[in-house]
Amino acid sequence: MEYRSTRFSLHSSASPSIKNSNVNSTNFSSLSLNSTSGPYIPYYDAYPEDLTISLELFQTLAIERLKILKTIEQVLARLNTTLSTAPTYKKDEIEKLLRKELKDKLHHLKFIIFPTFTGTSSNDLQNDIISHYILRLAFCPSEEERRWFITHELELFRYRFQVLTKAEQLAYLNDSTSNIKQFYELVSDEEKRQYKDSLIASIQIKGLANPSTIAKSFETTSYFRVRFQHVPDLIRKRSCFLAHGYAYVSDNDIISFVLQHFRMNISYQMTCSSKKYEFIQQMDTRIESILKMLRKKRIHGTQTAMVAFNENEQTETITFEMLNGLSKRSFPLCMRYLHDQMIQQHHLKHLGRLQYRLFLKGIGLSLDECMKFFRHEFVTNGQMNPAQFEREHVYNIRHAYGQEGKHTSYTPYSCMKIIQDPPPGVNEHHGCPYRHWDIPTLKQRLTTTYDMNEETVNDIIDKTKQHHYQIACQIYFEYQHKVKNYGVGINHPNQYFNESRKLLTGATTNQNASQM
Amino acid sequence: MANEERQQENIQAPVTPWNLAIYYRRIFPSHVYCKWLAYGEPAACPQFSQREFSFTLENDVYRRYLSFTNHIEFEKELIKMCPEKIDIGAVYSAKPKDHKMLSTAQFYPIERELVFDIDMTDYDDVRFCCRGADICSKCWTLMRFAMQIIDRVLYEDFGFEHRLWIYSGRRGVHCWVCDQTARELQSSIRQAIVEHISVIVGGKDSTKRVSLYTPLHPSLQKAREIILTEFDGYACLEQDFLGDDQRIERFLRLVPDDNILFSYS
Repeated sequence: MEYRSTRFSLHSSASPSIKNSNVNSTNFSSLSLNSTSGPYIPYYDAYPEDLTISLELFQTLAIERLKILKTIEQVLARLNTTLSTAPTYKKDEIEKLLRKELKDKLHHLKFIIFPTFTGTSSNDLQNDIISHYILRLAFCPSEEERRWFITHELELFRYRFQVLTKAEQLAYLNDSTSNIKQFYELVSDEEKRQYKDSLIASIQIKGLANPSTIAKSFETTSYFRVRFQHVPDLIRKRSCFLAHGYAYVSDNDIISFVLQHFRMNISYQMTCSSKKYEFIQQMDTRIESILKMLRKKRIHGTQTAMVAFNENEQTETITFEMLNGLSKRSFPLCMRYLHDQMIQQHHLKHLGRLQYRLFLKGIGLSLDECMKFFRHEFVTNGQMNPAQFEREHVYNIRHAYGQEGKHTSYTPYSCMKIIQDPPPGVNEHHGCPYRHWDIPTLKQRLTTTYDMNEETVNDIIDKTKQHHYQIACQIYFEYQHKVKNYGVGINHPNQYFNESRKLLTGATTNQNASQM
Repeated sequence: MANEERQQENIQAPVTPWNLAIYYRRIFPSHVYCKWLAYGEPAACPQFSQREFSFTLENDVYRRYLSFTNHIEFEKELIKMCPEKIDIGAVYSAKPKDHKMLSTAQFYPIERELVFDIDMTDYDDVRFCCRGADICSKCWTLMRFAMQIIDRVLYEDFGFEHRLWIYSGRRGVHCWVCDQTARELQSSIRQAIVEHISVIVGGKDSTKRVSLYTPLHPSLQKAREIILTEFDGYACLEQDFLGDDQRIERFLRLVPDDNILFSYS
């Protein structure tokens, strides 16, 4: 049951009289934001007023931030975790993958993921806040979008907060511009002493640290008293001390209530905004169209088709005899399957031909070689007579390569298109295996025909069940090439091929490409 | 139905629509009941009219989204329908009986008490005197442990003042926490509180385990102290948990340390 009205009960009606202490422990009160020169994460609780930016910047900032949030979503889905539950080694992997994916893709908001890059630092904070608010506007109308936005903004916030030093984190609490100060009280030394044994027992050290180190660190640790409602994850794990409705949180765990404060603020404000959204809609059609585009991109990704794969990247000469070997080493499953069916049946139905033909064009198979291949399979090895081939297929192959009619050079299908297009019927072999094959068939084919080990098969099945088809393909890629955590997902069959060739030919530059 | 079966039924089910009607008319404390749920005089509290009730009638007929403006209306409906079971729901943003006319933006839960349900059947692993819905003075000790432990946590740790413990009538007890702060809690924090109190992992399908580390968390320390006051009496005298080979076997299965386990089997 989710309640619509979020009432912040900061003080329980039944709270006993706990004296408000005037004593501040030394490692807290001296800190303020001005004294730390480190990265600053805004609270996002107020929009900068009297600000004008161009429509173009408006759009650019929004798309960049969405790219960050989308990448976070993909990385966490790929590694099957969340930042709050990930053990330390996984946190490193998350960071690595995130930085790899966003390396060259950010300009205005680069500092968010790469804090050492300052660029035009005077506008950084502003761009951070503006991009956040634009996305808030775009995603406030529906509950699902609100939930997605808040979940991923929280992950981003956690990512940025976790790398701050303890001093920087405490400085964040001290910031006078936010209402976070209402959420907590510093525990006096006197009270700390009173609860010493309980506080120490509440930290789950699992019997590894020795008592003297624990005692020493206790002296230098600050504790904060917050309402128990503000630290649900600490409550759940039973990793804080509770008394009279208050949780005693050490300075290692302040992220718990900082995040909760962040969540409550955004959630409440966005719910309010959603009620006023119809008035905003009537105001400016240019903004509305940008917001619509953002909503679409949230689902389909921020990459444009052109960026997904670069036709000019492929420089090897491919002949049709190489296809058999290549299909085993460098083709994604969808295309390998199409190729295998072609070789076995010496025929492919219309939609399969379309999908495969354009893919072959994309990998650099020339018109001549493509023609040779199809003729070899359909006529020489197959049942078709040459005249029929001339009549029915030559034109279409030439057309696909832009040699007939309008002379349009068609682009090979992206994963999105293959997944969304009509599924294969009987005797049809196009489509995406993870989307269109049922689970038992997928499992059986991966294990038997494609000789995959059980663990990887189960991993792929797992992702398929969660509808992460492109991550399933990624796992297949990594298995074929014996790499780990190489990327976040395949978006285009030709991207798969290009990445594969890069990996395989880059590693051993002396060998002839046709031998690989 | 044979006479014998009918006799059995009369012994096990003394409730009939006829005496239920008398019960609701003469005995059931409608006014007090509604005052409790309205946190004041029912007719004077708008929130009472937005409280959902559901009645389970004869033949498992289930009627939801019932609501009343005062205790007299409530009592009238009770007498008329004679429910075999009454469930108390949440307070909504509008009268539940009008819910079909409203959208989800207009009809949603506002507050709900925090309720705990302790079932004796969950303790079947550690009691030999009874099983299932049966309950006796020997295994009632377990219920006493549970109530003392949870009540302490609710009061001393979470600061809840208004806690009502009630025997459910069959095989367990319920605890209703009625503080304003409790009523406003979101589902996520309710789930967190349950996990905070839970110590046993694993359910019906997997082996149940308890994994604890020293030093124990303060609330577990206090729970342990509560149990120790009566454990010997319960385990040794009342349940005789090492009384025969089968029981020894069951006990050994709970020991996590393989060294100790193998030296005794």
